[in-house]
Amino acid sequence: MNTFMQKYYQLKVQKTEYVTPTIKTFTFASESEKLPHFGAGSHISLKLPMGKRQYSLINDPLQDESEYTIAVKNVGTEGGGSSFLHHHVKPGETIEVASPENYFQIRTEARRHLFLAAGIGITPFLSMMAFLSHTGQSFDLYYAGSSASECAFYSTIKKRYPDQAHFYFMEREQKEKELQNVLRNQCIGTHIYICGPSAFMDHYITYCKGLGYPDENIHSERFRPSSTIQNPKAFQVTEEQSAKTLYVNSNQSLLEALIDEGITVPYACRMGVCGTCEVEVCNGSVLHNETFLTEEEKKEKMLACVSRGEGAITIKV
Amino acid sequence: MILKTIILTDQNNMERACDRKNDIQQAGGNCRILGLEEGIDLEKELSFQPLGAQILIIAEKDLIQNLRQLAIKAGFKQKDITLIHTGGSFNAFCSQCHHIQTFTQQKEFDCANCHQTIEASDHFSAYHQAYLAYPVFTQKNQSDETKG
Amino acid sequence: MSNRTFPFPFTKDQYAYSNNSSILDPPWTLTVTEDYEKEITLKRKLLQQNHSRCFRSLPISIESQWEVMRLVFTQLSEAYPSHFSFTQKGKEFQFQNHLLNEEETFIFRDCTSIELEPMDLAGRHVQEDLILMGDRSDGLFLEAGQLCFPSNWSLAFVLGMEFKSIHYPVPGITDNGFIEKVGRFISRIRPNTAWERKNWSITISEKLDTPLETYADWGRMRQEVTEENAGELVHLRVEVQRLFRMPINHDILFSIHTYLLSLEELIKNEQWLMLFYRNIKTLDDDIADYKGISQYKKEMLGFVEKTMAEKEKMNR
Repeated sequence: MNTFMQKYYQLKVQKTEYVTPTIKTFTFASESEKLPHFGAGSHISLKLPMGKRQYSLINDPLQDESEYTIAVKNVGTEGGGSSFLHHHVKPGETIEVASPENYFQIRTEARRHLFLAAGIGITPFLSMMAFLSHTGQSFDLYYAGSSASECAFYSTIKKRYPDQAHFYFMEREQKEKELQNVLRNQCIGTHIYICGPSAFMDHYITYCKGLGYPDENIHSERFRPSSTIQNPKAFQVTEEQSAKTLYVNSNQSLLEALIDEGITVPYACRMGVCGTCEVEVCNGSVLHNETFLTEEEKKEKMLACVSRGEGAITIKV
Repeated sequence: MILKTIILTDQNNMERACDRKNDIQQAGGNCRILGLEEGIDLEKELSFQPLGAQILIIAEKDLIQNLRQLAIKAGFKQKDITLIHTGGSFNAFCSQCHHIQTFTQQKEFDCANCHQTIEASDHFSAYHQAYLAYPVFTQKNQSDETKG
Repeated sequence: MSNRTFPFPFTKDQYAYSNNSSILDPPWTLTVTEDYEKEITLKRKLLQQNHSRCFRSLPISIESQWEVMRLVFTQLSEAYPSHFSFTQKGKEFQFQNHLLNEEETFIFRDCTSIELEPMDLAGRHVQEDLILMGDRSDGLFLEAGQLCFPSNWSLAFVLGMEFKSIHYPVPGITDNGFIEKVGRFISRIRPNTAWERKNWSITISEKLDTPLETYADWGRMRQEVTEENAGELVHLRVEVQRLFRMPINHDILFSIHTYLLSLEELIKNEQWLMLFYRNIKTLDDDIADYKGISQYKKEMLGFVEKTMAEKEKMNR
């Protein structure tokens, strides 16, 4: 089952360009159709031989140019997506790309936007700054890197946003001190967006929370691993209300098995989005495969349409 | 985490605000009073409050909606704002003509603008700071059937 | 309306609240029916006579309103290319409505290029009511709406309110956290994706505009229902509600297309008659009150039972 009902496009690589010795941009367009609009902070998924890889769009969302551009840092891992893109994807070639998603949207209600970027973590902020320049909202960028020459889009950003962009190329300790200074004493109505390596994000998110800033004002981009269960396995289920025990085959969902057995479960979307087919988990371990339940809820609930048990589980409808 | 509370108040309610401040501080909270004085640039003052702060507005009922709007404009979220107004009356939003007026104990009254007899329900709008009031017709039992 | 295109809402024998949403492919939020011209005329008349009742917006909604307008014109021209066209020349967009022989031109995001607010303009070309829900870090807020055909609610009152508090008076809606779940479902709708659900109620007479503001006029009709006139007076009212995540501003467009079918027409379909009867018969009293049915439930059921008895006699 396609968990997200995503639309895929066959896109042609229009051009590639090195912006630093290790960072390259790729621009994609369709030869047959207009590409969907997207918002600031959106990303696309590319289908590569090693699996799906997600990259932020760096285009201006209001330019309406019907092309998608990403910036990829070659992290040098053998067999990795970035290395493949750098070495094997050339202009004129076709790549399968999923329609844009957005887990890192701009908060329109903010009085001021504060962007904190490290390294290649700058990418989502390029679309955000372009968008906010159009809408006339206030923002500042604090961008940490190792040096100006290795800092992607350094001169473009400096030229386009001379008053808003601030760069930090100093020693690590000094950098941390200065960035913490920036974060301190923020006023009501500020939204803080953080993107960079995991350790960088963890550090500054923790720091912001320590300052008493509300969770709803702190945003970060983490690409989620695709949650699709690769090789579904059969499992056993006992349903407490009816005291029935049944087997869910590997090619069948828990929801289908329950309905076949005559156990009524309300359902709607069958793709783990709407939450209608939620059931209580009394015992056993569950592979969650949806986007609806909170982490807390996952401890005692599951969605019968897409999530599966491991071995034997007990549920209550 | 340091909980920051701003108390915004008019001069008439300063005493009440001070009592509140003491309560908050005794509970270990961090609190500041922002008084409505002549010449104060309230919009500016509010927008310089720290991120994560809560605001408690204690004021005359007529003032409170304006103060609330200013706080929202400054960046406070609805849930960060607590209102205490003096006078013990509430607002009713006339569902027939949209006029907002006050009411006290009596829930059924005539709208001052369209003169329809209306009855306040418990459907509350934080935006209007008012309860929705449904029309009451003279035919018996009909008012119960209007809620939508 | 004829029963050929009527979106009959009941699938089960008993009515219960559920998030009975389904995903749409293609994700179009609008439908043009044979009543297009009639309903557009009525809509524009209502907007002219009672603008502050039928259109409301907050300043924060303006960017999204532009997105709604471009989306509405794009979808109309894609779904009904012979009725509408939408083109761009340089900075200027041109929308042509061939059904009404009208043309709108504008520069995207330039408020001086149009005389109305964008959603107020776009809404005048579609049968749907349009509601804009802003997706904010503390919830979904109703930030703009063009609402001409509401079922007993007031746009002016709910403007600026959060999704959950808007639905506060619906009986039983907070049971098991139902309304929170629906809110969460909406907040997770993906960009460029549309979901549809149906909602129903009953209207007396074939009247689309039943706002709370004019309850005094149309609510009285509820007392006039008899077993004899129920077939003609009583209409099943179905709202096809669509939720669309707008990609650029990440807000939600909520479109409501209202359909009315008289009982006279409904009973021609025996399956519908049966389902309608069972659903009304087993309806909880508080929901019947909320939907305004209690006053004439007896008369309406009397008509339906009589019809069913006659049909059974004929089938024998």
